Amino acid sequence: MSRHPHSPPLFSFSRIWIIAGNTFTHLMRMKVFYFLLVFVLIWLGLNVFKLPHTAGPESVGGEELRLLKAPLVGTMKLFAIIIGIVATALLIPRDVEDRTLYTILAKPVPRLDYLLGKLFGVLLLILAGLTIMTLLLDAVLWYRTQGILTEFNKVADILIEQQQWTVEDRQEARAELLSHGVTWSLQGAILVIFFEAAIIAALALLVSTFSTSTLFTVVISTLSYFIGNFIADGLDHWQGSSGIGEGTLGDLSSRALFVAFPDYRPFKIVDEVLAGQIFPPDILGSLALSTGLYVGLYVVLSWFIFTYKEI
Amino acid sequence: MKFFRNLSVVLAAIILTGFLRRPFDDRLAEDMQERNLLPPPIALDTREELGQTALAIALGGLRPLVAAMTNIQAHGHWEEQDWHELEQSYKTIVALQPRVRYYWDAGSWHLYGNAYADYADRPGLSEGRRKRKQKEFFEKGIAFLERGVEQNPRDWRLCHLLGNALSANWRPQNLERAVECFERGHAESGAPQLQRNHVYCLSRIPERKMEAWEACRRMWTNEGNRRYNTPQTIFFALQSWAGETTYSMEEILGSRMAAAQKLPDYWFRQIEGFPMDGVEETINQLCEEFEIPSHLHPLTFPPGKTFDHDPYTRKPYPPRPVTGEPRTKTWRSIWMNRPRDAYRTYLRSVEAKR
Repeated sequence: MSRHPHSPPLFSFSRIWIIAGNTFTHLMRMKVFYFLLVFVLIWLGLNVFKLPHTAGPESVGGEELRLLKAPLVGTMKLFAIIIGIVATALLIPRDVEDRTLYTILAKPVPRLDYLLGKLFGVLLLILAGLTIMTLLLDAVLWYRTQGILTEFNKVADILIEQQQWTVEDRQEARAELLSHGVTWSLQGAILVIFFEAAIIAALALLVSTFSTSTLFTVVISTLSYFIGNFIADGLDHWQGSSGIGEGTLGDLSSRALFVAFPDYRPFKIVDEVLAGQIFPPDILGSLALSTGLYVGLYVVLSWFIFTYKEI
Repeated sequence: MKFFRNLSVVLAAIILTGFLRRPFDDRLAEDMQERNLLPPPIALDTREELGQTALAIALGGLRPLVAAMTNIQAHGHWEEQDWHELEQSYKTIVALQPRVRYYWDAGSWHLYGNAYADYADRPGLSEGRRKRKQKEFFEKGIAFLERGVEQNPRDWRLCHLLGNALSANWRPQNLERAVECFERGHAESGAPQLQRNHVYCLSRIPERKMEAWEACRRMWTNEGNRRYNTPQTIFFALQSWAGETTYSMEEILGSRMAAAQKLPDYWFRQIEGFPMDGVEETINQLCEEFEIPSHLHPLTFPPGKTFDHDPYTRKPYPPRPVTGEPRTKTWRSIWMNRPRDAYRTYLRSVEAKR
């Protein structure tokens, strides 16, 4: 059996890239990047005002940098999650509404290419947003770290003079201070935020293929995000306190309920990196693999639903 | 019908792959937990304290943000000296970020240090209630820090902080526990500072002088520790106590002139419980040798003797401006003010003449 001479290949990078580019432009026109204004405002505010906190002379700077990072990285995460859910949830209904979907699918474009193009468009948007915010974060963090280092050196000199610190103490404290500044671990943590957003966006894409309302997609995706995070905090406790015996139907159902949601436990490494932990590269690899598996699964399932969807 | 069939297939696929995926996720999460790369789950009581919004934010993976904001709130409680609220805030903060040393440090310091000091001079409290409150918050602060040490067994700096908190001479002390903390911190880190702290603390327990002397000898083998005045003077006193003469005074303290400068400072620390064997005799000998005038002699009075007037000018001290109570000063605080500088200047002039 030979293939039909005019049937398009199932998968084409150039087609996906064109759809992704159009999706990105389309989302840009929806003024999504106005969110960056919120980030910039927080960024400016944190630059101008020193957040109140308690710190002795020995701990000069460390907490200040942590206080700077927490709101900025928090805002970045919010941006990635919100855009990941809302932008993806809007895509298919919007294309149906303005009939773009019919125009695209009337051409020799496989539905898988369409879905991948849409998803990559959203991911491109998140990546661009996160990149801009990371540059701003790194700039402000670097600037503040330099200021704090100058102050730190003065205090360290006094403490060494008073014989409260040795040179080794100073080096150790300096290294600890710098671990709260611009580090590769911080960049890795931001990449993990992107991974999380990719999973959420892929899940939202799956929901939007069978959902008839944008609101439903947004609600389900948001809930699944919270349940996925809750697994880390509540599953063991819930299983322990529910009194359901192991291996029973109840136990199997509860497990089935929880495994249906993405497990965001490992992605909480971002919290620890913000606290000053070093991000091991092998974990980054595992998280990338995990993300790839989730996104792959959700895309295949979206394709399955979308292929049989009557449009 | 076809739609529901497809949906069922999707759900089945998700659950099936979920079951297959779960061991991988569990292994990864366990590995990360072991390497301290994941925060522990939020405890139930913390969930109640957080409130709905903050809990949702924390569960949404924004724990550092909630902790940082609660810390700012706690700063406000500190300014208002609302110690109960401050305690609650820090309990929440450390539940969210249990591996950030700063939060354990700041929270405990507010409780065992600031609240303790605040109740010491808060007006309108009976003496009994004042003491009870001070004790209560000191114990709360120490218990808080103990919890930090327990939850972060590899963080030797928390052991150091706890040891310091328990050995400060202006608050209640638990020197036995402080010794344990410094010892554990030193074993964990090998930091010479903790080894010195361990010796300082041990030497302040009269029943453990032999142990202190052994620890002091071990400390002395590390050349870096010999640079500091306190290890030198403690070594000198403990060697005198042990009746040994392995090192001469000059070898321990640098020179006779240096000994005349360092030993009086150490002598005034007898209030803290440091061993004083052979110190008084040596100071007297040195003062005689350097012909110190009687008005500059550091041992004129015992360090803890109190005065309601200046012993040099005989003028009475003015009463306390806030309470109007008469003011007294110990010989130690009087000496550390101006006579000490005059004594040291005199020693330098003797040295220059020679």
